[in-house]
Amino acid sequence: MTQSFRVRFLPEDKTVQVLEETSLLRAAQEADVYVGAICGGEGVCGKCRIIIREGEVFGESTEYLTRDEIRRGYVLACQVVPRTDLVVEVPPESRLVGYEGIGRDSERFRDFVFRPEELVPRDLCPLVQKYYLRLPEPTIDDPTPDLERLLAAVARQCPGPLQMGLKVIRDLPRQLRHCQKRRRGSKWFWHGAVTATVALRGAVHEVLAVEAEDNSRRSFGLALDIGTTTVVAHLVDLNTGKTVEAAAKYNSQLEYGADVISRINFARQPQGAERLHEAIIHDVEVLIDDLVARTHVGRGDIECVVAAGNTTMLHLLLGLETDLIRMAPFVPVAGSPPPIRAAEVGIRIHPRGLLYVLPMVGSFVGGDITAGILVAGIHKREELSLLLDIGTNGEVVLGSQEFLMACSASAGPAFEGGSVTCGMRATAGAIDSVRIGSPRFMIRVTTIEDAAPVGICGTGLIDLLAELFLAGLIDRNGHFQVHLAPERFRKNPLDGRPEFCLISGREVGSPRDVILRQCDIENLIRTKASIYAAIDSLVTGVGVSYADIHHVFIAGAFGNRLDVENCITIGLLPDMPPEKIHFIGNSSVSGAKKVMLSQAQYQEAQQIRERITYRELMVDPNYMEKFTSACFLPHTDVQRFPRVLARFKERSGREHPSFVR
Amino acid sequence: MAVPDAKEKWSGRVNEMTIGATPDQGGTRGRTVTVGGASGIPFLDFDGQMPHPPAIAVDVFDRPPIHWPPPLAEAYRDVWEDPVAWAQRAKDLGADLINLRLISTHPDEQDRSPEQAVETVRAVLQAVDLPLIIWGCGVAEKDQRVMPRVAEAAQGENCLLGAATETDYRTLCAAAQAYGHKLITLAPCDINKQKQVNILASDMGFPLTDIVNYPTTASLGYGMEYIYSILERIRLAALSGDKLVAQPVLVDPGYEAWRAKEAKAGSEMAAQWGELAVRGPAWEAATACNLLQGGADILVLCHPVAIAAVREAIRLLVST
Repeated sequence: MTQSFRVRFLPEDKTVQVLEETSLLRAAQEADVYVGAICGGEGVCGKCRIIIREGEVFGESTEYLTRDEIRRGYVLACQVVPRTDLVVEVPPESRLVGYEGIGRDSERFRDFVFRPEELVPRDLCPLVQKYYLRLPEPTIDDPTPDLERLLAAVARQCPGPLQMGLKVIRDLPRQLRHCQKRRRGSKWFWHGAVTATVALRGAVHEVLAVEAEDNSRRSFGLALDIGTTTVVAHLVDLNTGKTVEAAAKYNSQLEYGADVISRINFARQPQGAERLHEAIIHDVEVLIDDLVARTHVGRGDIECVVAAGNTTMLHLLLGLETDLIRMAPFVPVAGSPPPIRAAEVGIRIHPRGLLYVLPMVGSFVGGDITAGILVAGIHKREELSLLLDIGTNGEVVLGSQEFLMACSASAGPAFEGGSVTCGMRATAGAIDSVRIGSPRFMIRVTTIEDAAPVGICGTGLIDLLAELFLAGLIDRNGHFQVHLAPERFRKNPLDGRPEFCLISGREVGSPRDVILRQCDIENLIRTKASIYAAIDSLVTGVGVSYADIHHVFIAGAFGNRLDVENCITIGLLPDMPPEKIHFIGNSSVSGAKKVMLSQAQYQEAQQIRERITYRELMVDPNYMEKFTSACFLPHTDVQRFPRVLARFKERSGREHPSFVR
Repeated sequence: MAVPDAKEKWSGRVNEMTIGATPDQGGTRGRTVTVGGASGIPFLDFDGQMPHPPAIAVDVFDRPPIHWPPPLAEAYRDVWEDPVAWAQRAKDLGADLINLRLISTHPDEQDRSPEQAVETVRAVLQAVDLPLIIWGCGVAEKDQRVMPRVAEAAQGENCLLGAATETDYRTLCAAAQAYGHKLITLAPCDINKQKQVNILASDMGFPLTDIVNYPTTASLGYGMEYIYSILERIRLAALSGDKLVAQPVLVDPGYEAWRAKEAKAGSEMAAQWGELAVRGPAWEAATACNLLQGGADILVLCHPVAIAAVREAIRLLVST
């Protein structure tokens, strides 16, 4: 007989009853407790660390844990099942701080809060517009039916073909007139003042709704960035173009896998696709709830949603098949899906409100990139620009008003905290900047929210790698130079290899030490190399030189916290004067907003999609070559990085030996 | 119609390097071997000069290679118990260099001590006056203990020490530099990795001109074309002036060819394959001759017949 056990999760104190074969990761999901699992529960990421406080579990989970941790009761949640009732603690590094408190308490989200200097487009002409119309009362001489009477008035404001749903037509007489019930029949009084909500639907406009009275001032839209990790929503006043409020949360699909490929894999399981779709719709709903609660805007006042995101995320949002995305010839179901009724996917705004998604270029260059191009405006610039979106997948676009070329490199999750021993997302307690100074390689770090350090996030990892290199503590291959500062290193008890101790947990009152292993550095170097190689493949493939590039736009979650000089130092970015490098923040959501506020921009986004040439790195014979060359600090060909050598000299007071040669 | 001048004009050349030291150079070798220096594609004398023909190094192990296939075993069984006698045999077979492998220091083999390794090296140096290539056992931790002692014992002899890799280069680099030896840098079949190891060694202050590249080797039929194209690319990069890979290149067709099924399987495999005694050496010689064309400067060989065949091939290729 199958037994079941009670599992109580601390510190949230949530209890769930599960069957004996249920993994604790699944149990946590059922209890609605977040436990980070980058691999989606396949036991290969080692991130779902939990501590068994009471009770017994069964299963092997030793591979990613130190002997000391095992002694203290650590297990990997996805690898063990209960044997008895349990009390389980989720330690800080496995928790998502800021998951509940939307949009306020996490550094990662701070960048998403709208910026007041944000420019409202001059050609404000939103996808959905409200017109207050006063229709003349029909007479015996002017017996035009209600529908035609309305459409004629709308057409004066909004020329071109119009369409309208039966539901709205059925309701039309009651919106145009008062209807007084009498004992026998009813009496109609002409009113004639209505607000028509008109939305762009491809080549035609649709009259979404007709309501009595003047509601034209209450017109709102929701701009969404469906990120693989984070979902961001901006509530926009369509009349003024201003952002009323913003909210963000982690993508609930995270527990099914950290990157798009593991999500697609999960979608192939029975009910998998449904669960992913429901998870993202749930997230959007939670964000709307939050926005509605914090503003005077009601759900019914929101007439449209414009979503940007990578191709997989947008497919999951629409509930489209994702399996084809990951298989040659990498064909998504839809590139530029037409606007659909938001209610069709389960987003509850105005019942007839529309959902627009930004056009996607291909399987690995999605609507977030179209949005980025739109925001950076590289498609309109005479001079050459580069757009980089650094995430689990690194997308690169090179172009000008003459051409646009894009590629996507599978960079891996290292900069998002995955595949690095003490890597974590940018939440409270994550080390987000590192400086190694003198004397004696003194270490200074900052953490998000100044919390006790429990791990390192992407910007911290980039800093750490750069600082170790500048301090001479790693060679150009990323290998520890233990002899220079033996006290900073210790031996990994498992494999005897040296590891760099950044923060001793005992000294700062944190449950664990923050360390960097040799294999972590290898992963970081591979990640940065894949992005640099993608850039290099585009730049050389097009036949231009780095000096020809006038602007580099960096989009994505790193935001302004990214240290440009350190990015160049490790060879993640090409060596360029920092004034050429601009952060455009979350261009996915600002692109969605731009499109929402301008029908012309919507058309422009479609044109961008058609103009982009996708370059498949897998078929570039030189990509591997460029990748291995880039697997070095900053690069095998140091002549490409004169700034780094200058920086090294400035820091250490001597020339780097590679430069003297 | 005039034939257009198709000669290539190269800006760089392969480093010239001498291994071994005679008494007036501070060593005890009877002669030295100089390799490299080429200013063109291998054996195309109209394109550039090739001042030194490729050199042949002959394998000597410090313990009997009892698992060698019969043709090889027959050639060396009488000397393989004693590295000194074996080295003597190698010299008699016309070796330019002795390729001494300190395999017995491997922790999974006899795990011989650094002192014992030093004894072997001293004995070989004393008995045979050819320049020496000395390899550790390939286990980094052990080589880090053995090779500095060996380097010290061979001080002044200007040996070639192998092999520095991207993960383990510091100790060997330091030892080679301290005791005046040349260095082999190993990067499996990857010109960029080869550059990277050379950069790492150079960053430690080791001169790029004292390095020999070892891109590893693959036998005929087992991916030799990969190594061939790496040899070509290294040579072309050197000729284009890339100092990071301008070093002479060492390859090891002896060891690799005899790992091939075709070199060691008996006639039970297929009658038309012919006699193993002929086929094995032929496989080794064919592999070596191919790599020769790719741009190998030092070839490590095993079988006497292969040694003679490759020697003859080199003679024919360089004589005009």
